[in-house]
Amino acid sequence: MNEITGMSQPTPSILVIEDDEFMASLLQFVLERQQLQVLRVADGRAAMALIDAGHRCDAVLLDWMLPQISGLEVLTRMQQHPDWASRPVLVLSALDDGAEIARAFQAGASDYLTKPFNPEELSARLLRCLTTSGGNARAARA
Amino acid sequence: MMAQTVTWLMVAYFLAIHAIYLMLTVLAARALLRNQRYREMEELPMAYSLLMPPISVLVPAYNEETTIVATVESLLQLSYGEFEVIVVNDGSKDATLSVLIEQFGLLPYPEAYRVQIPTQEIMGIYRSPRHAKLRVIDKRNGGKADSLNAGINASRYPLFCGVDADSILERDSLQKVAKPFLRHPDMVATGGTIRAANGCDVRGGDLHRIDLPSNPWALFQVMEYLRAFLFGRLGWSSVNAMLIISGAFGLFRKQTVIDVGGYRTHTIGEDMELVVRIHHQMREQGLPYRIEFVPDPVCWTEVPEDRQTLRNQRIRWQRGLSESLNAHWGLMFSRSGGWPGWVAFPYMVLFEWLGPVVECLGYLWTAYAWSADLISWAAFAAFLLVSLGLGILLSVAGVLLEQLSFQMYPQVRQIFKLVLVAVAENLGYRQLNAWWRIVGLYRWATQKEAGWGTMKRKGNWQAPQ
Amino acid sequence: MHVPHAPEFSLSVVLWLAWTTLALVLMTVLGLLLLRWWRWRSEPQKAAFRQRWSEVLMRCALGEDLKGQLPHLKSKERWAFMKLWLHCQLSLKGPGRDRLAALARLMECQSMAMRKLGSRHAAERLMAILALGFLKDEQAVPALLEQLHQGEKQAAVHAARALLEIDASAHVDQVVQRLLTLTDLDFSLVSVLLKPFRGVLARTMMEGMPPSAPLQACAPGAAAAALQWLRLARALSLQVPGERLGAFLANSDDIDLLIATTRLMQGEQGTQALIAHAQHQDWRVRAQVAQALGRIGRLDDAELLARLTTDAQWWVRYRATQALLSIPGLSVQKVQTRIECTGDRYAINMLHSVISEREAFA
Repeated sequence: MNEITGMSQPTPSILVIEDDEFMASLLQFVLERQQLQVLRVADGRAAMALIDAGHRCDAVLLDWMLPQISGLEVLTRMQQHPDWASRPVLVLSALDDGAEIARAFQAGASDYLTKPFNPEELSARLLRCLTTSGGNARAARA
Repeated sequence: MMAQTVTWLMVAYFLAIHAIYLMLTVLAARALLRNQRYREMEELPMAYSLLMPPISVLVPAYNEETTIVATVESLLQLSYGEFEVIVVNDGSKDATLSVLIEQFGLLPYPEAYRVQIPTQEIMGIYRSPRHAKLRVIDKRNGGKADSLNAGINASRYPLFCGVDADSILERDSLQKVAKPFLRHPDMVATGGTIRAANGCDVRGGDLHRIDLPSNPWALFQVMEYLRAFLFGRLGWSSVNAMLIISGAFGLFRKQTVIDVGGYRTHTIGEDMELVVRIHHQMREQGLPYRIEFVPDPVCWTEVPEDRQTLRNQRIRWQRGLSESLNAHWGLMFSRSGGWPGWVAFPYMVLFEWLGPVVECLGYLWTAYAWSADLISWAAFAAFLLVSLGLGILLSVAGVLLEQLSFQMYPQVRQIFKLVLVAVAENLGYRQLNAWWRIVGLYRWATQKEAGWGTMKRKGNWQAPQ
Repeated sequence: MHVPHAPEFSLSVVLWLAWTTLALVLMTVLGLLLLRWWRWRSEPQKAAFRQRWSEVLMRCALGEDLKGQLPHLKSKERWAFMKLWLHCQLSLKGPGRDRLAALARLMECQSMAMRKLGSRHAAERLMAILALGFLKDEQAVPALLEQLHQGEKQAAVHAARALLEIDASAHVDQVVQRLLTLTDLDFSLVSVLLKPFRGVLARTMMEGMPPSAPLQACAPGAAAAALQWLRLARALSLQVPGERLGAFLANSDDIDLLIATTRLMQGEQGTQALIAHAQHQDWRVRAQVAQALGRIGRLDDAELLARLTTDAQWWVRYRATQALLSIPGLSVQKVQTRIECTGDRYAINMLHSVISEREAFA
């Protein structure tokens, strides 16, 4: 039984899509300290390749400003993928513009955090996303 | 003896040109070191600012069906706040427009287009429902300058960035060239370093890996571009006397360009002509302005890899230079000329425009005089020293400067290759270049003659531009 | 006639110069190789340094106890550590930042930062200013105040951030005062750097809002001061009450001032004064008025906006049409009918243009 998430599954894995090296390692550090498994990719294309290859993760931490394919596009494509549409996506971005936030939620984001971020807040929100989706998954199977 | 005097003059010429290169190198080195520190600051994660000036990216395209889609896709992914991409299809005879329509789902769009600079007729304006930032203008063929003017007419934002259809931009290029506009409110134009993309791994418009080309022509050009941008432009820019911003990538304040009349059509070197005209008119009117060069590599482009294409390009460039200088003699030594009028322009005239003639004459004369025993061994050696020796020294110094600043080629084998190229470049390539430039100069001069001749025959005398 | 002839080339001099040139070339090549070797040596060291200290900084930020586990920091590494630390400070918010500050004080970074304040390189000075602010070092306040009042523009803005970090309430008055007097301020930098302190700055800004009495009657600098205030307010995303803005609009005819004021208008207060400028002779003012009315979105303004769509200037027509189409409760059909009534070809043209734009991104 995973003490943090209360789920009787192995360590949940999080896909972190962030192009800034420093920020990505910071996020990895914070998440690993919460006993979460982290898979890091540096841009949208790599993320799509991962998804198309059949990888599974329990949640996604998505940077909004990405090279080559924007965060919005990645999110939209995820929502169209059968396995990934149900995964909670936490968007992390430096923009605090109301229109952008609205766009993110409309595209299917579960939550939105601005940079600079509070690590404790990030963990709390991510865990809430995980337990909610885990609970939904259990309810669906019941 | 006469022969001796002539040789002295040739030696003096080469000494002068290399002395100027040295001065530019010193200015450039200072600017580079300053830039180095700022780059460290820019690595800090300062939150994204939406108050950066919005930019219209203009892409004139003629017969670019193979590369246009990749270019546009990579432009749409640029990391910048607010910007738009306007592709101007200059009456292409191939499938450029249809390829764009298909790839981006373009739809015709009844745009209210306002004419601030006269251009060829606009056939239609298209917008992409999937990409809010993209617009495509279809117009009758009129040349690159005309296309840029059309783009300016259609652009919404106060700054515009002229880009070639085959330019590959770094993701943060716009940020880098826009920053000087924030620091100095009187900035009117900025340019960045253009590097040779040959030998680099480019996939779908993005640069994946940087390497030196294996083609010797391309290698020589890599060295040339390094010198031209790292020393030349940066050096002149530090005294606000930069006379050229490359058409492959340049950011301009739209209103200033409209005020000076837009790009001049029927000109070969429209990019240089515009910048010289800006200097000329701003100085004449006594308006404060700045034109700056950003040393960071921002744009990569394919350079010619065979002799014929390269030759044609250099001939074209020299003709463009001739036209630009010829249109603005008023700037040289004018009362308000400043550094551009009193130093940069005369330098261009003496060393870049007429220089190739002196250079070639120098080589030919020395070879003849020495073989005919008209000059001593010492004189011959002196000539070789200032023409080839100093050239090699400055080229190698250029490689060092590049390594100290951007290190685009960090591996040892690349360094060795560059040093070899730096030496070999002076032993034939530069001389060949000088010859091509003479051809260009000749063609410009005779074309002008022919032009006037035709006019005379027609009997109407147009006021010189 | 005696023709002076050129001096003879001395072979020995030429040869000597040739050897010198060759020596310089070889030295440069040697320099290249040395540089390469030095990089090859130092790159893995730098990577190891970053790895080691990034982990320490992150553990510290997350509240872990690091007593006795801190690796030794050599004095020559201190600046590199500080840059990494600065990176962390700018990436995080919350109690982690205070823990990082405590760590840096433990590593004696204050003296390093003070030293870098006098560096030749502007970028290092700016980083040092920020570092002193994040260190919450009270002893650095005099030096930071000096940078604020006498430093050049960028340094002043960075010093403003640093002082607000140390003690926002104590320094906010001086910061605002200084920012209001700096000409050619880079408002984009202000907006980015002072974002976390918008609340504190808003209070002081509102207290110091220039009077809206007729500005022509005031001292000549009054209009410039008001303009600076308005621009700063926009950079700080201030919510200025509409009546105050309306008073500015009513009492001034300076174009830059009108534009700056109009940009800030959000709510319905003060729209009377706004409407009064709808026929201003300068097209920029008219365009801004149209844009502001669109933001406010009152049905009553629709008629005025419809008239502005027939303006002679392109931008005025564009903004007016956009504004009309964004008024809630006004359907596209109604707008179309109204504009077609005008019979103005340019207005109809613009309408179709803007409708296509909106449809494309629905």
